[in-house]
Amino acid sequence: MRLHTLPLTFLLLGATALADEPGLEQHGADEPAESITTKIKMTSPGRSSPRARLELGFGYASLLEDPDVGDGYGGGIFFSYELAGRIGAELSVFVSNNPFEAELGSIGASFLAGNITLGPTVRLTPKGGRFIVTADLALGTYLIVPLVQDKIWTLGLSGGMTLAYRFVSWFGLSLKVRYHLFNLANISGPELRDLKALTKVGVIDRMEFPVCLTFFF
Amino acid sequence: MRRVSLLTLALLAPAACGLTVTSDRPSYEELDQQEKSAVDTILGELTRFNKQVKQRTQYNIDRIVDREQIHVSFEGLIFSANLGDDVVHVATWENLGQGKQALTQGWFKAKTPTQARSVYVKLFYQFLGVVQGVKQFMYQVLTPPWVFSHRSLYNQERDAIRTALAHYVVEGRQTEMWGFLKSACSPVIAQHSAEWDSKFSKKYLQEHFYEVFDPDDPTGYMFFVCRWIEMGMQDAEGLNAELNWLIDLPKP
Repeated sequence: MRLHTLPLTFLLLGATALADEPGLEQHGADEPAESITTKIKMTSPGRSSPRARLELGFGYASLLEDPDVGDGYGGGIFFSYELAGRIGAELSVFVSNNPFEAELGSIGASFLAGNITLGPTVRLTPKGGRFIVTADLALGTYLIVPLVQDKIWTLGLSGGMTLAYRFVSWFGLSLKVRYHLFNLANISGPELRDLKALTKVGVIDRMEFPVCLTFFF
Repeated sequence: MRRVSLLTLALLAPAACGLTVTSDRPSYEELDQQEKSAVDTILGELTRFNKQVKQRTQYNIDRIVDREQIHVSFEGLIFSANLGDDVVHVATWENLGQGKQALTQGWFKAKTPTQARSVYVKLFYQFLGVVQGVKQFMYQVLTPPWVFSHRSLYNQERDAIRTALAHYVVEGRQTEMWGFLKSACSPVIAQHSAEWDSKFSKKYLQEHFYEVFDPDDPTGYMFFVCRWIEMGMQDAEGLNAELNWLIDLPKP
């Protein structure tokens, strides 16, 4: 529970207690509590339950299970908005960079990939708390920048969770855990060939754990 | 509890999938007969060039004088390269597929696919095989990251071709190889000058790399190769001078 809401909660409890006292029935038991609740809503509009969130993230990002591609990093921007109840939507742009290593390590280049995705989110925690946990799914376009081929745009999808903590009403930190599957279908550019055997590459996956500066609106 | 399960699932999913962006190349023993024959031809050329390098410098290209480091098994691309990972990639004629075989037949104005094949094999397996060996020498002397960051692709290719031409002189094969290259390249230049001559520059190659090198249709690259060959035949100095010039470039 947010600290600055505690006094208001006591006021609410007090008002409810007052309404239940004998002898006040003729005034209508619920009236005092209703009026204070209305006051609370008027004095902190939107702050206790932000609907929009902008996150600027940077952190670990890695293609998985590939001995020729090392752990990397990535950064991006995420914007989410609660449309109705717990359900919302999130738009994200993220770019990751992973160094080639092992047999391909000597070439000194990197595997660069990025994505622009949009999809639904579900808030798993109650409205208005300091901790906010959301789950998300997204579909979008994924950019691959190979070394010996032109840029390739492919179709991909992602799923993950966000754990956010609000230090103050408008600002906090969040940790995202996201898993991507991309190169599901070619949108534009040549078919991706791998740098080692020059064979066609199938579906690629990526895991990322960015830590985000989070702004609530 | 449900949240913990979802998180665990998200973390374990990738480990179960095992998807990769690189694949292992087949070993020499796994290649078909035509691919093995291509590897043997390229290996023979690289062995001779390595011998010349060892005689003239303290360096060698031993890392690619190995049949497991010559990669020919990919299909559907016209591609010849050494990317600095101690592997030489050369597309075999048989793996090009009919469409790309017809494209190369057009470059060389060969009357039949058989004639086109013989030109392609000599150009790609022998001459361009040695060119990839020269690039390996560059990487040994200068390191791949330094080559990529300090030398233009235009200059790398130009110098590698000029050095390969000099190699055939000291090998006593100048008449054979230079004569072949002239006859292979004259139809390429005659047919594609109108489109590519004005684009034959360092700047154009830098800005239009994927257009020129497009492995689905590297007509531009073929034109550039033939022009570098023309230039090399005019500019080539002895093999000693070519190798020492690369050695004397500023070290990383």
